[in-house]
Amino acid sequence: MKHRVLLLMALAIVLTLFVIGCAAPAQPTGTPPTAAPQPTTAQVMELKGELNMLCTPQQEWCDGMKKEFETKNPGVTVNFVRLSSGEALTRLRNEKENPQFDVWWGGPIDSFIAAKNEGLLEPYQAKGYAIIRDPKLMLDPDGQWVGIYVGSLGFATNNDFLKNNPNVKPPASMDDLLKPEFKGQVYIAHPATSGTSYTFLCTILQQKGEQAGWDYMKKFAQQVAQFTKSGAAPVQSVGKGEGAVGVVFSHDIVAGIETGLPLTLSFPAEGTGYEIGGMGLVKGAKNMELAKAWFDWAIEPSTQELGPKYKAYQAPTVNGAKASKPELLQVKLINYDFDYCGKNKKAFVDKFTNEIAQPPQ
Amino acid sequence: MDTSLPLTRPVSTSSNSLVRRVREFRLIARDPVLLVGLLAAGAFIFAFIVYPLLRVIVQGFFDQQGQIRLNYFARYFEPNYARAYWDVLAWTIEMGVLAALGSTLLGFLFAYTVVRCDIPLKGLVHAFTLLPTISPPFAIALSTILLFGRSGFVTRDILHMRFGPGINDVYGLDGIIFCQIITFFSIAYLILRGLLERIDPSMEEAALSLGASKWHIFRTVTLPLLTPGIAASFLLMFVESLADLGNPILIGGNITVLSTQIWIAINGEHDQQKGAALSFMLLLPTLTVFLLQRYWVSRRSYIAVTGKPTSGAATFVKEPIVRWTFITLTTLVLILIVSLYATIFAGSITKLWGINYALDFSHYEGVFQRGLEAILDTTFLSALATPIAGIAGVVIAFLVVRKSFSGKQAVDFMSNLGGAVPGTILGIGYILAFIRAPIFVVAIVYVALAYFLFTAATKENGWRLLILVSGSFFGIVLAWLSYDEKLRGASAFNILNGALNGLPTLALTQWLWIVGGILFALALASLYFVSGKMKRQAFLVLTFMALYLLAREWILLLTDPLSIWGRRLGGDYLPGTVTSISSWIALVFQPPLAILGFTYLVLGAFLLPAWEQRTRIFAAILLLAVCCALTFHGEPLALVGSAYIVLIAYAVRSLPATVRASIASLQQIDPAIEEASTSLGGDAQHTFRNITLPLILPAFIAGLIFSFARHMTSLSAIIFLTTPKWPILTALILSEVEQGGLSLAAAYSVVLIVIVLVAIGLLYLWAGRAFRASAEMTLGAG
Repeated sequence: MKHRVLLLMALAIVLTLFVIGCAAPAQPTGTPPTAAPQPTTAQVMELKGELNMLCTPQQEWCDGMKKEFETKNPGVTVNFVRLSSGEALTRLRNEKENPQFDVWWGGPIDSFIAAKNEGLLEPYQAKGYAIIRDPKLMLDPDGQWVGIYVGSLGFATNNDFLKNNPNVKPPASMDDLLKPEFKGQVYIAHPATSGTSYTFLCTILQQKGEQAGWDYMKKFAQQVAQFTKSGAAPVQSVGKGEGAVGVVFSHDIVAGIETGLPLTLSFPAEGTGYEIGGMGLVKGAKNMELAKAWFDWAIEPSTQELGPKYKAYQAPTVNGAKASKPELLQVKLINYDFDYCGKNKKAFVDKFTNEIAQPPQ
Repeated sequence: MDTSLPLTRPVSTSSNSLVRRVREFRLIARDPVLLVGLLAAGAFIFAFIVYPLLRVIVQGFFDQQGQIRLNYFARYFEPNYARAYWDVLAWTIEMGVLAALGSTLLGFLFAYTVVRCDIPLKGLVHAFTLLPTISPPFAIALSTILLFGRSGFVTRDILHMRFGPGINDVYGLDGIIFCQIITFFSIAYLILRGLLERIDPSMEEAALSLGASKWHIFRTVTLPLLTPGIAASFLLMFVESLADLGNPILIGGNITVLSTQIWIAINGEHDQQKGAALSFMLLLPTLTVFLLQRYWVSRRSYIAVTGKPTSGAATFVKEPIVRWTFITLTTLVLILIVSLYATIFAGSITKLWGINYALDFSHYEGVFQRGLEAILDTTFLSALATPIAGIAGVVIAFLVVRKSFSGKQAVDFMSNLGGAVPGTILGIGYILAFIRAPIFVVAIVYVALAYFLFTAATKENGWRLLILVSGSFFGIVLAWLSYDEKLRGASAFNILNGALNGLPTLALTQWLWIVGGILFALALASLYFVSGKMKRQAFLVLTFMALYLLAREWILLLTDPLSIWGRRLGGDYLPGTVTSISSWIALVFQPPLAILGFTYLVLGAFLLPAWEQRTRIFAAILLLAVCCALTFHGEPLALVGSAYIVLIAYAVRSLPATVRASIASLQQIDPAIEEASTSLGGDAQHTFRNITLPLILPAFIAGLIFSFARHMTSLSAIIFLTTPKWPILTALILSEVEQGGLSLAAAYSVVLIVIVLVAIGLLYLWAGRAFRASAEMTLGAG
């Protein structure tokens, strides 16, 4: 008897559980009904959830932007991983079938062109495209990526080195880098791991033509003390006096000077290469809504002026945003062909790796 | 309950041996603890060590279209590439040999000084020697650059050296080897010290009394006794050196070794096939050495391990010249090591190393502002992975030492493999294996564990088949309810698509309630159908299973508001801490469903024998259905991007440490103690928990400490697996080294070392209590 009562009770409980269970999904936890919209913010609806960002610029800027976005949208957590552009592209490719990231922010656009060609990016027509400064250069025709900053290549020369060698002047042309006084004193990243260094390589190949360009690179490699992994690393090495000259983006040099490194910034007079940093939505992103919100936010003029707060002195790409260091782009720039450089990247890097960056021994 | 097996029977034909294997397996199946231990350990090793490594090897031979292409291997013979490729290979081997030689020598020097030369402050020397095992992999490279780099403190500010072209600087092969020797020699020291302590002094005393000179004794008695240890440590150091990524990246300069070449191939050239092919090249010497060590060195052991250090006091080298030479050398090296670590600390509190040596604590501010989450999350994941590695290690060691079954050697070997191969290779393997659901692996593990369930339920093969087939069928139908169109269309389910397409797709909450409901029903039924002592237990376990399953949804009601509340808190540190804690809670309650399914299968199998005979089949079918549904829900084991893949990678990397530690101490325990317990009526479980475990606890804890340190400091396996939600400290340090400057990286390293030290202290405190408890138990038992 007792057992039967127990059994009946069991059945009753199971039934109620089922009823609750089937009634429960009326409010699935994934997308809860939003609370009353907050009148104070411009947004119609408060954003909620987590955004996974792939970030390529320096850690400090990534972290600063994350916090700025979270302050603006208190319901959102931004998670990010900082990876160099090469690593980032590998990750996206590996995770193509099961993307872990929602938006990729920063990094040279040739990586974004490569990502687009592999079908890793999601097209998006943002309202902000209207204020892009130079849509021909800074905007993908299909809206798969957009430029978010611009920076020019420059030379960083150690002041102590100049003091100790009074006859030496900071390099003022690409050919100055080949001077004997800089032999074994030049720092630059390796083009296989760094967009900075690839920009330099491609600038040389465009300025001098491929034949003469490769000859130049061969001589140049003799001058190099060390090929670093990260593009901005030569600022540290040269700043500390490990070498005399670093070939780096000028905004990184300025950031180095601000932290107290004794560096002099100079540019090649015949014209220098430059990068455009890009941004794109990851195809199949799991938090597309938030990713788009980030995307829109990142090309607002006020957002683009946030850089200097986090020691990022790149120039903005939208009208209405003021450049923190306009002089960095008021130098002679070459007519950099991003298409040419993007298309040939694998071939050029392979050639460089196999024929030039054989370690000098 | 040792299963003695007919191993002595001569094996003549393969069919004969097959019959033997089957019979042997039947015998194993009679001992449920052995069976489940074997199945679980086998499943773990297969899924997380063997399968990913196989994927890497295969990947090296096939291009993206799945065609066989050997082009990367062919590069070793193409005129264009050959020189660069052979250079890398030659440098790799040179680095491995020299680093192994150097660290073994240094390890010997230290061991001999500590054991035989009566160095003052022995404890302190020992502690400082172990410092490298708890610091991040590139800490030494970092401080070497700070001290001896082109603008290092010693090289420039003291010696005023100038580095022009052609002048040998610290970057390059010599720098790598120097850093690796300092980084790895403490392991050689541990190995050789253990051996030296165990050498019975009476042998040397005998030689001495026969008139041999000290040097003669050392050459003809001591050294031969040490040979196996020296060889073992040489080979181990060789493998460690080849696997190292942190030092070559930082201080390699323009020298590329295989591990960095792989790293650049994957991360720079985006060429996975190249990376995999090079991984294979790196795997070859590693495996060769590994096999050499296991089957050659270990056989040539001259030492009868007595189990404990001999009681007689070790003889000390009497000649003051020898003694003081050793002590001086050791002290000098120690000063170097200590100054290297002091440099890291000094670098972390210096404004701008090399330019402005003013005191500045702002780097720590940067560390806690930008790296707080990484610090918290890495510590949490490392701590969580420690017991996983520990338990897996004890189970495997127990199987290997106490049980005999064929394939034992393989289990032992494979469990070590995951930690011995370069982490880069394991990391790539994990990406390849777990980016999509490895259905093949999941199915194999599922069938193996289902076998365990139905053998527990019934002895009749007919019923067993019925349980397997109908349980799996209902399970698949249940799982089907959770699939959306995309999953249903996947090729693996083509056959089912026609039959089951009418079923609706349920939301996760709804689906969990159904599966949980079945478990609740089973729990209630157990009150009725399970009799005796097990009734309460069965009810509680089943209810717990149901609740834990449902909790993965409920927990969001806690964690979501918690993280939102946390983010609204002001301050620099509180929001990050609170959101981290909230994601920890969620992590604990939301294990991958497939792993939950496997666990429930094992739990169910332990409950079933107590179930009433007539209805047991139904209970078994229902249980199997639930577990099958959980196992095949969504994309089982598609772990990339979750924190669980990091946890598993950690556990696999440190598994050898816990296995070795447990094996060593198990071997010292006389099986007679366990047999006594068994003959007095304790079952295997009881014996293990109450006799074996307390006895091996000290070694086990040492293994845990080493595991935790290894988790916190591992870089190469993790660098490919970091997820945005779970930042990992070592990967962050590497990224900061090149970007934020060395001081920041130094500050991070100091924080990491402090965390490991604190953890060791806590573990010792806890272990101290545990030791006392076990001592009391031993007394009580006596």
